[in-house]
Amino acid sequence: MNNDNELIVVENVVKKFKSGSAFVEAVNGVSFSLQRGKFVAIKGASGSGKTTLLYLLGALEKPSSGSIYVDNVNVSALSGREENNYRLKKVGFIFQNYYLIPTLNALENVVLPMELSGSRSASKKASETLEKVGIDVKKQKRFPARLSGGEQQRVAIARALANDPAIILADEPTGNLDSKNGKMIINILKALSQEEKTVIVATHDEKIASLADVIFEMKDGKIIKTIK
Amino acid sequence: MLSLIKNSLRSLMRSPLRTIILVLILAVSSALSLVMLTVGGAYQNQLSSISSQIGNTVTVRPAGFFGAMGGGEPLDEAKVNEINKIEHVVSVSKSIQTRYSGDALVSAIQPGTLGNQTGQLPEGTNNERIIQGIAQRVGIQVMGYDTSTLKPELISGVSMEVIDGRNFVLGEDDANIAILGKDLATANNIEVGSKININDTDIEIVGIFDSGQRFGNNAVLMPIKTTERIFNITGVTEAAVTVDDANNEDAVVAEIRKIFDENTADITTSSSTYQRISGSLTNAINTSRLAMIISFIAAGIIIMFSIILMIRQKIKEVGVLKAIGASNFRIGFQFVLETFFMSILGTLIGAILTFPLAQRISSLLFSAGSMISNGNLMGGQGFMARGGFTRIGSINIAVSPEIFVYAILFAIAIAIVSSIIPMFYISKVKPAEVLRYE
Repeated sequence: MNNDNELIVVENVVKKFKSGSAFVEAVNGVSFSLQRGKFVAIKGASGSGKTTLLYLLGALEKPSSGSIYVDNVNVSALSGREENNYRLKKVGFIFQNYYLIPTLNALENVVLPMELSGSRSASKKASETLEKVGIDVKKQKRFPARLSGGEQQRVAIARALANDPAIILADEPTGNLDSKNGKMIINILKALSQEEKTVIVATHDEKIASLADVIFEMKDGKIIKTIK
Repeated sequence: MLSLIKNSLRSLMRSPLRTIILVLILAVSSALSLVMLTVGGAYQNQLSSISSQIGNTVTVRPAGFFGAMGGGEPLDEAKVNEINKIEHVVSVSKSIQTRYSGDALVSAIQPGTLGNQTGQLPEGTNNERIIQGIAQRVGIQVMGYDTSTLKPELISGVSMEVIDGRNFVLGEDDANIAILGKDLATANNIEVGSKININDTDIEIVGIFDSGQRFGNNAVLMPIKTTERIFNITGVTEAAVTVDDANNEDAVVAEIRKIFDENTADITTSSSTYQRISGSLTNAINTSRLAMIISFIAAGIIIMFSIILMIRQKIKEVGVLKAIGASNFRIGFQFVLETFFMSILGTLIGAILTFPLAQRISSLLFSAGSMISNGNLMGGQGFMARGGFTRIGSINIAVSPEIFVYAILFAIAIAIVSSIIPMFYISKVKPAEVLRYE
């Protein structure tokens, strides 16, 4: 269990996947704890377990063993509606490929999670959030296909922030962006951590790592190095 | 909800070709279903109509007697009254049929070849009268009815309308009154209020009727007791027994047989005729129902696979929705809405197609030449026989505006039925798996 200052406590988490007749340990005995407002980078080569760890923290995967506590709640034990609520209100996901809903415009993409959580005046709040990440009112009416990669990722960040989550989980958020847009996204994420949000980024990008408060370096499913 | 609807419609517009193809498939299959529904309904109505025409009737006549032909003894009226007490009997209509061949009335029908073949010439007709040039005429049918019978059936399937004067009223069972067929009245220059003398009794004509055919219009209708008295008949010559349901006819016949044995009465039922007629129509109804079910299932399967295909194409979208906290129901409902909109459009087009297609498909299902024996054939010199034909092939298929209500119900049903498996499929999607490989 964590103490009151710690938002996230990960205790000896293992995640195994079946590969043919054998099991592969994508995450193997990982433990750490994080306080609120930290900017965390998870580094490592492809297949080192970064994304799996991120999905475990976001309750998109369940650990094979071990526990993950967020705000003293055992996330790995959640199911059904509680699990949906956790994803809806506690965490916000940002993906490398943005994954905006193509049939919704920028504003509607941000409104969607707000509506799912039953939020009132969602449209106004969504518009404000989009403006905060640099998407003006005119562009808010555009569908994803008519936005640049950087703009789409900013909309995705706004969507992740829609329900004011405590944790932002970003999987290679600058992977598909040029350096200018990548820098802009990094700055936004860094700024979010300064607003008491815990931002955890799985990345190869050294620029992101250099800005992080904590860096976990992973190899073969294990954290081989922690830099604070 | 509004955003869900908007998103569903946009999703459909995003792949216009797929949407158009699916809508067309739905239009064809729903048109087929709705046509079959309409045709089946029309056949069912036709069957009901035939059933009501034939009626749930058991006819009891003296053994050896038929219409005004044959012989035998009248049925004992007291025993006929006992039929009323049998379970499932709704009513018993008694009547007496006889012939009048006296001089007070001249028949309106010439015997012709058919009348001469039957040998049913009036009494007193002989070679001498022919030599004297006196015209031979067909005997006049006299029918005695309960005055409670408002529209007496002159012969099976032939009813009458009073076109001048009045009908009998209750309490006139023994009154010296009569209603004449219009041809008979014309042939004898008789009007309402005239009196004629039949078998030494003065009878007042209170009405003139039209039956729509020559044989019926050559008849005299009298109250039953009056007929018994004037023609010196004790008992009745026909008891038409109405049964509550055709399925109970056999049970009623069995009970009647306990009252009248085979040597006393002949009993005929309408059910055998009905079954003969209904057989082919029932087959057509079953065929139309089967076609309706098959086309519905086919539409459901096609739509179901198209939704699964749609979900597979949008699998990442499903994963993202799950990742941001959308429930399985919320995600599935969007696909149901998409299906529903396609179904609504398809079935409404299908409903419109029903109007020109229903009659044509009905003609294919049921040959217009189908004729089934059941009716009545009569004429000539007092000749009456059963065994005519009813044409049931040319059924008019009227498509009612209600078809649009059925179309909407069809659309809802298709959307629900075809969404069950896709909903299950959505519930099994693991967001981590579908989002892992970017």
